[in-house]
Amino acid sequence: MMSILVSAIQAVFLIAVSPLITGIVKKVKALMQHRRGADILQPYRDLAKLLRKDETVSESTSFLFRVIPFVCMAAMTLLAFMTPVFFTGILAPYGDIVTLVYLFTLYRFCMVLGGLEGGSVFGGMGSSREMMMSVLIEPALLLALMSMCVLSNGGTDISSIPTLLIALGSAAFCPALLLAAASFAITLVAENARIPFDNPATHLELTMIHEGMLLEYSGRGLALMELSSEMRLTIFMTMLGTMFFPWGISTTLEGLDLLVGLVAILVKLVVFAFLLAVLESSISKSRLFKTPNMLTASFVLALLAIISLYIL
Amino acid sequence: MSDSELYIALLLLPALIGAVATLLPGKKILISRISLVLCAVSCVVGALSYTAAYRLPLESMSLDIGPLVGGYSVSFDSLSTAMMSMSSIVYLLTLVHLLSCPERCEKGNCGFICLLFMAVMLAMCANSIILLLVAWEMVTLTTFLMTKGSDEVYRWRYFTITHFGGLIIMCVFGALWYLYGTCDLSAMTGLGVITDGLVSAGLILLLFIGFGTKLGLVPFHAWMPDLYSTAPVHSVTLLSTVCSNVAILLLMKSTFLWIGVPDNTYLPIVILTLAAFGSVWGAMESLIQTEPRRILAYSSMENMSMVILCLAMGILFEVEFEGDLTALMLAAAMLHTINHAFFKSLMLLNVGTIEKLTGERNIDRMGGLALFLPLLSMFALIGTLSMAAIPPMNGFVSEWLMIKTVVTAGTGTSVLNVLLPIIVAVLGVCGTMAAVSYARLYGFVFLGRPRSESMREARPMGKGLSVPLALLAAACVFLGIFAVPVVRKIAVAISDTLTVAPVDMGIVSEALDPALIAVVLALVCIVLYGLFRLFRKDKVKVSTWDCGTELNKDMQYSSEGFSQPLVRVFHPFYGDTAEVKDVRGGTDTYHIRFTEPFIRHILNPVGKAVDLLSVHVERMQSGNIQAYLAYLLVTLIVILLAVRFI
Repeated sequence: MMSILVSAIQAVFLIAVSPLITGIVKKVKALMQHRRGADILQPYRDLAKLLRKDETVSESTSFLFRVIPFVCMAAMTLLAFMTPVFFTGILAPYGDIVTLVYLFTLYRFCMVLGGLEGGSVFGGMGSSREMMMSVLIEPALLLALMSMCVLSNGGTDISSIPTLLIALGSAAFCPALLLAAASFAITLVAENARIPFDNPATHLELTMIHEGMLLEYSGRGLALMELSSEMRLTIFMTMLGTMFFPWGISTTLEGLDLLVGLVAILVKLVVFAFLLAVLESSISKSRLFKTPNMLTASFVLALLAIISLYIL
Repeated sequence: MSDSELYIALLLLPALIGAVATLLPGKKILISRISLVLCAVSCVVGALSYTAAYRLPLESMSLDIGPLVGGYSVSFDSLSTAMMSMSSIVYLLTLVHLLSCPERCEKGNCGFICLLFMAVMLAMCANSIILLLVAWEMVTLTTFLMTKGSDEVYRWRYFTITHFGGLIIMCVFGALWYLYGTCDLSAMTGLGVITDGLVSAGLILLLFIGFGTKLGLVPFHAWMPDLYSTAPVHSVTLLSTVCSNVAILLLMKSTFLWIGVPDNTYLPIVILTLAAFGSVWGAMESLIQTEPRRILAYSSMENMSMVILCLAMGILFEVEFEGDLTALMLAAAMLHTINHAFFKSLMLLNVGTIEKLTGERNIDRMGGLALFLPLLSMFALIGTLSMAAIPPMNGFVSEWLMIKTVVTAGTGTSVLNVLLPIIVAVLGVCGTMAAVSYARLYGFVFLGRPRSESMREARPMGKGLSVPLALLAAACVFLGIFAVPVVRKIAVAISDTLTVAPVDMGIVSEALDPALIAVVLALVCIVLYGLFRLFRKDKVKVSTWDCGTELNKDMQYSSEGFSQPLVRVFHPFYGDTAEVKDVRGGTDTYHIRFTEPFIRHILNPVGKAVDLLSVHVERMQSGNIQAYLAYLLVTLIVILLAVRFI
């Protein structure tokens, strides 16, 4: 009972903290560009503002367009329920590692269909590019997670991976872990529409992918889409912090352990956000047809990770 | 009369009467309707076969013809009856859809549909080699005859390729008859004790090629896209779903029961390579097609190659991985076959309905149909989500099961573990690429703004058309949400029928709960929607944002443009095979056609070689009767000598 409560709290925590992480990334980026930048709480205000606004919808959209923001939000909520944050137990054991990848697919598929609604050229372009990247992202994600399953030797159960990795001790620090984490990090950057794959800060530019698909949304629909994409970033970072580098996470329900776990994940999230901002500030957005090279690199890293486990 | 005899009579007689009835002279529409209804009665009986096999229970029975030929016997095991039930349901719904398309109900066509049903059922429950081969040949022939209306070249290509496969199958079963000394299939429980493994491996490989011609294994898929795009849609639906079911079932039973898995690692690897290649190729090709039916043709190829991949993995698990996961892998294959039958028939009938209501076949003239045919677009959405393996639809569960089994095997210890991540990568790549293709299919047919006037003028969809589609869509959702009990049933059927170890269902039931996923998904949506309703805000309808210009119908993304980035990334694999044709003779209309490398580099050279050979053979045909008599004499002497001395 206690464990369910803690798991529920951590899911809510994950959802609540998402806009903050985006705020931190934006703030650090602004500071790197010698700007003062908006407050780190700005994303919350943006969401509140959007939720208060009326909606403007294209007349050539179908029912699907209205449903998609809800489904995207629901997909991310499902994922938040199944990600360990500061405690290894999860709220809803309805899926495993493979399901997790497919829930990301659900989110992406809905967003792509939403981009095609209304028949806007920008939406179509964003959808088309997103799908191109997804073909390379998804297998890499699957393989990176599979290598963690093989490394921890505990099947595809999500909550057992952190526990088993911690139990492995220093033996967990093998080439496979680093390779898989590197692959996952590239996937994180690509999947969350960050430089060098995409530029989250621009609209109306021919380089955009993710923002292009959101162009027709407004008001509350846009609020849900924004929140779910902020949640996606946070979920990815949390996964990096609990499945690849789980040290610090609480495996018990002791108050002190939970506190340590909470601090650990907060520190990890801030560090990842900082690193992401530094990465985004230090390189330029690359040409669209150069991104497959980086994605293939991520794919190969994941493949090497898992093969190194079998061979070494 | 025993229960079993009564059942088989009820199963086959109505369809047979229906087929014979179409020979009667008289009112075309009436007679063809009667025959379809009779066939539907058979379908209902067929759908009950799984239950009947448990309740009655059905026994095997045979019709003795003579000592030389053996008996025409049938038997009902749980695997076959499961497949018979599912196929019958799909068949029934396709028939209902056909009944409301009077222009498609020709007498001949309806007769063949009745015959095809008999052939399919007999092939699934056949217990003697003769009956199996006759039924299989009947399946091929009736489907060939049902494609009347398609271009003759495409039909004959189908006929030739599948008969090539049929010939191989005949040879393999002939060899089995010889080796076992009987044509009774129930007596065949593994060749292991009779010959060495190499023979079994060869036979299994030949069978995969033989049935692969029907399933679209590379390079035998050459008939699929053209035939799918031109033949009557109901024939294509039955060909793509029910006939594939037969082929997969027979492949599974002959590999794991009648021949038995030989202790040979190379066999599964060869099949794996072929199937992996085929599935990725099917997904890639479906991306560049401009007709919905052709997209679905390549999708069939991709899905069936994935099922073959699972079967090959099953063999590999049996040989290398101690066989714990074999049954689970086969369950994944079986489940995916069944799921494929449902979502593919849903999508093909959907496309047929669109063609009927709008008269358009090209994706570049569609768009925005969700506004004009909202109900149809709902069904198509469910079908698309299922095909694209989006949770919690049925396609998701079977793909999940495939990947899950392979990943689980990855934690074992074996030399061949290195293969597993590659298989996962192949499944991942072709799964996502296929998802792109289906997003494109749905997005450019139903979403966006209409690209031609015929979309706006779409005729309304009648009840007769929507009921079967609704039921198929419901089946897709149902098989997704209640997948775990379905997997359990299938796994039990597999370990009952085939010689494999039973499944540890914990692997599935502890790891996945699609029903809970669906509930949470729905709950979050409903709560959010409720909150939004509670604090209502205005909604303004305006035209799509147009940068200040008037948007015309072509100022939106095109389907070719949509897949262009992927085509560019994977360009080396597609090869430089595009033919650009100036269709109008003018300046601005181009028709781009990709010729597949398999056709250019494998099938065309074979065709040319045959042509060349026939020119040489023709020289022997002098037309002179003495020469022919001389040939006869020489042949006779050679045969006599051979018989005498060997």
